[in-house]
Amino acid sequence: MNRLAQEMRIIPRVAWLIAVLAYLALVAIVIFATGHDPKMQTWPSWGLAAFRGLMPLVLIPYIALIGYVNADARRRGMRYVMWTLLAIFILHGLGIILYFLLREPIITPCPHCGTLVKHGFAFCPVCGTAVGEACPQCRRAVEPGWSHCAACGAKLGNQAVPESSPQPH
Amino acid sequence: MSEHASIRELLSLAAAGVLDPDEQRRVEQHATVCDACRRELELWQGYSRELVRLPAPVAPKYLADRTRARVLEKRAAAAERRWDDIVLAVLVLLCWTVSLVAWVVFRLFNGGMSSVVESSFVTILEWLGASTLFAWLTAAVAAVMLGSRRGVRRIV
Amino acid sequence: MILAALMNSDGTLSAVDEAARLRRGDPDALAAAITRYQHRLYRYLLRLVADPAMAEDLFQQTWVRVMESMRSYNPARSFEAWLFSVAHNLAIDYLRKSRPESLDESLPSGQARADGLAQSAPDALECLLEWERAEAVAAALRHLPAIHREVLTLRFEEDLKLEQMAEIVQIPLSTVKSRLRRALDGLRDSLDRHSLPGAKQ
Repeated sequence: MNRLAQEMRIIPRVAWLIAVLAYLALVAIVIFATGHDPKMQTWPSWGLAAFRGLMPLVLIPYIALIGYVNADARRRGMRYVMWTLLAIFILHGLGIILYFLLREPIITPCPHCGTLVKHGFAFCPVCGTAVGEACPQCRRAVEPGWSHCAACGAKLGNQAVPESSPQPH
Repeated sequence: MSEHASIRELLSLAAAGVLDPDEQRRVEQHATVCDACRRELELWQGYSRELVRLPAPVAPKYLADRTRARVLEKRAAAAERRWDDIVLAVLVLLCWTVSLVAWVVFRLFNGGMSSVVESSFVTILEWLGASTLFAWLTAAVAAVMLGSRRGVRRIV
Repeated sequence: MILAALMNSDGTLSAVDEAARLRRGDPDALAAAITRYQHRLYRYLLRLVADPAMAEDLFQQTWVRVMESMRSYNPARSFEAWLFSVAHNLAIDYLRKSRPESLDESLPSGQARADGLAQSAPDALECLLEWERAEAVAAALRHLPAIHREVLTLRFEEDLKLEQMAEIVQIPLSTVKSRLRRALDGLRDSLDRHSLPGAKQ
């Protein structure tokens, strides 16, 4: 649940606003569509309220998710406009699912200059600060736990393992 | 088997210190009377001493740190995968629900509640089939366009 | 505070609490456990596979596997025995794939010593000088099958009892005994063959 709250925090307020408005709009539409419906007169009033009030609720998480896609794609350095459009226009929410399957890992900013450096780089391309473990021979990025560099095969020796190595997401 | 022969079998184990107390006693008693076995026992004890005194290889200094990093990384990756699985499952459920609601609203407009409640299974399938097919087509096109740029990501 | 309550009078955490912390995934407990067992576990694996790079990798794999199957660990069991048995399984799997012959006891050095040996024949170990012996024993060990090296290191370097060895190697007690005997015979045989000047070939 902690994780959920953490992730939900990035959803832009605008998205929540649109979601609530859309919900209200759908409720209005449903009321309009079923206002004079003969079949529905036979329903108990709580049934009517449930149908008209609860069923459209599903729109809120759906639109909130589109907002999440927007914000998350942005913080991962992906093409967020394209992904937002895909999330909106592909039917049945498949665009949202597609996003979750294909998203890039989280990008952490360089501790020195703040540039967003892609995952898998050992040095910041802007200021040169080390942002990850590097092979002593070929200076390429290596992952914690490797015994040999995957690029040049050099034996990885007594390097200090950074306490807070960027976690792959 | 004679006592002497059976004791001989046990000599190496006696020197290794793994015999039961009775067996050990038997061996020691026999060794007091039998010179050959006593000598053999001493030889085996020499071997035991050397094995105990073998210089012990020391773990390289970086091994502990690197192991810890690898284990933590694997755990983080596993936790991440679990979270991703839950998210995807919830998303799929949500998408089905949204489709259902969309169909209901659509039907409401077309024929009122009666057309919703009394729909034949076929009409539901029609809607499901047509819209899902359309959704899959667009998603497939999008996936191909996006996927073709990724290259191999899973490593080690 | 809780930590102080859990500590034994000699200041060490009891095994049950250590296991509980490991199960929770406490990184400090993990680091402490790895450090505590590092030399013994590494030595055990090195004796088994006789390849330092592979021993390092198996060392890491052992800890990964330990953390993954922490849930199936029974706290009543000795943690050490479990740790070493995990390492044993991984090492045997590796040997089976890459060097299956080293799991075979029926190599010449694995055979039991012929009883008809003349008792007055000079013993290889005794003929060597003090400072040559360790070298000779280490060299002779390398010629033994891996499973013989295993029981020798568990008995003499780890100083374990037969029951503990049986738990780690996952064979019955009687088999441990006989394997140890064959290992000792094989060791002596190997020394005779490789270090005795003018030795029988």
